[in-house]
Amino acid sequence: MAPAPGVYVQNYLVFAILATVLCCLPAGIVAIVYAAQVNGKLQAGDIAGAQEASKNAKMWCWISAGVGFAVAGIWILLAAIGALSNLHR
Amino acid sequence: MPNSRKNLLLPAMLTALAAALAMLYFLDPATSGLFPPCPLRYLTGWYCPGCGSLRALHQLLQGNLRAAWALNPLTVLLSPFLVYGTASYALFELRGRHLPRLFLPAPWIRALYAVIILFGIARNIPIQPFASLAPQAPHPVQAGRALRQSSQTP
Repeated sequence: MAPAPGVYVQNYLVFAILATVLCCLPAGIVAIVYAAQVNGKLQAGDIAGAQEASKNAKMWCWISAGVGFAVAGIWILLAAIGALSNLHR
Repeated sequence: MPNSRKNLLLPAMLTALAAALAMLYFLDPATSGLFPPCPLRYLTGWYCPGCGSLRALHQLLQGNLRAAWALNPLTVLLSPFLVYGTASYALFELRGRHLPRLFLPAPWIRALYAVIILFGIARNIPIQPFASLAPQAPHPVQAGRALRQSSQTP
């Protein structure tokens, strides 16, 4: 069953998968669930509901990316501190 | 105001993506120490569905499909979709045109979600064939030798 013609609501599925596999698994999974909701509601003709789910999908992608970047940032900081302390030995 | 912010955000994201891909091409996350470990693996010792994905992307960029598959088959399977989707999104932001759209019915997306979860569970089961789903590092000596041999052949 195809969605209503001419209507498109971004489901951010690509970013949700990227976020799941590369950043923060739990938040990425939530984003995928909302991505499924976007397409499900579009198929049912519920445009407003799809847009709401789309907003949530986007938010959870950003949360996942934020957690991922925070972890990476902390790691690089720790690695830099480790490298510096090795230099002094 | 939102417009000008958006105009800055996109080039920044594309630059970051290009930088990340260049970094992943030249540096092997398995050996460089610059890439963070998976937090779940680091804290619990369990593999998550994404464990090995950075190393797999490095091997994919280097053209080593088999090594990439051994590290994270899910990443390899999903990569064409991810490349297509990212390219489509970037094209839309730059040119206002999408590549032909793929509309995935909701049950397919839910199936994908189930596959990701099951893959994450299966790769932690220490019995074959599940154990081979855990990241399998290419043997460093063999990999180095293979690389040298291939660079010697004309």
